[in-house]
Amino acid sequence: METLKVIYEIKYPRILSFREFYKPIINPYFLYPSAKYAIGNEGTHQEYIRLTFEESKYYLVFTPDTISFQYEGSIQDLLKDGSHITTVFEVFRKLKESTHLLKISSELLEMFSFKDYSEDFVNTFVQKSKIDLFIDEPEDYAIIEEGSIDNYKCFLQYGPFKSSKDVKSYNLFSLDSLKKLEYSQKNGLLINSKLYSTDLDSVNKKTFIDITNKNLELINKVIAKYD
Amino acid sequence: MINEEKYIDTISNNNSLSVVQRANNDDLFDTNSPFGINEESLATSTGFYTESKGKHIQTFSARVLDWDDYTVKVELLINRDEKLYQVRMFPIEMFEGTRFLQHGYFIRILFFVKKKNFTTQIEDGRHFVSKDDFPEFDIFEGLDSKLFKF
Repeated sequence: METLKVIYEIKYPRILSFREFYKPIINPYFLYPSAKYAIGNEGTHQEYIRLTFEESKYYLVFTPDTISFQYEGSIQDLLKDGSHITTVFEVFRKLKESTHLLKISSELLEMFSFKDYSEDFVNTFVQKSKIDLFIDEPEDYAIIEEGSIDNYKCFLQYGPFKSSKDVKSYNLFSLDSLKKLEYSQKNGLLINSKLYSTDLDSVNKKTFIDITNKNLELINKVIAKYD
Repeated sequence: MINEEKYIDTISNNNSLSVVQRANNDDLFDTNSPFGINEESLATSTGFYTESKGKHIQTFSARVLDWDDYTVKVELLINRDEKLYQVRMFPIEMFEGTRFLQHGYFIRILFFVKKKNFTTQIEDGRHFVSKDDFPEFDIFEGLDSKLFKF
């Protein structure tokens, strides 16, 4: 199983005065190698900044109600000490120092995982999923499940990977053209799993590890079914 | 896999599967088209480093402890939640011409990797590192001495 993309988000109630103080928080990260930035909705109360770290394969988006981290690589990279995910907690901590009484609305982890299978995986998927088809010439399939696991709300979607559609739909490999090319020929199972929790007093590396483990548990169950 | 915006509701008759049509978008779940990443918006270079050192893999906050003619002893914050620290030695040449060679100075250490190459870079960490990350311990706290008053 390979993780193609990880999105980790911390949401908080919208801060109306956000644009007055976000720049000193984010500015130190400008010295990171190959950093690029783009400011959106400039001059409005919805102003935000997006940092792109192309060589490190991640984006950091800082908005009046969200810190969004989007990494195009393995989740295992982010579990190491000193990984790029630490940036999210640093930024959030500085934000809390700037705006007292900041609450956490939610912590979200979304993963796009891929398992390589042979060319006829579409048929395998239909058979093992025991799907009854209602369309004569179906082109694509997916199973969607929504619900809760422990304290997390979850959304799970899995089905055959169709490079021509999925790469664009989920904005995969936007920082890695070589991988985009590599995956244009691949067949297999694509799993999109999102978990979020609203019942939180704090967010840190530990909560990140917890939500990651729960997410991986879910992904492994899906993969086990089609192996 | 079916695009979320366009998917067809292929309901299974199998009772063991729960195939559910996605409900109305919940804001908390909505990570689609995040903040212009899908758009062809232009990003501006920050103008700091353009030369590639490889893939930036790890970053640590640290403070300078001590040094001699050859090495600088630095305390790295490995894991903030677990309060895990590590003392590492760096060649003094890395600090030449910088103002970092001061007791307790906060620095940032970045590690890069590429084929046949592993690079360590130090930067000024004052804007990243919080004093809370490196609490000062009073070693005389609780010490009851008749000779000295602390």
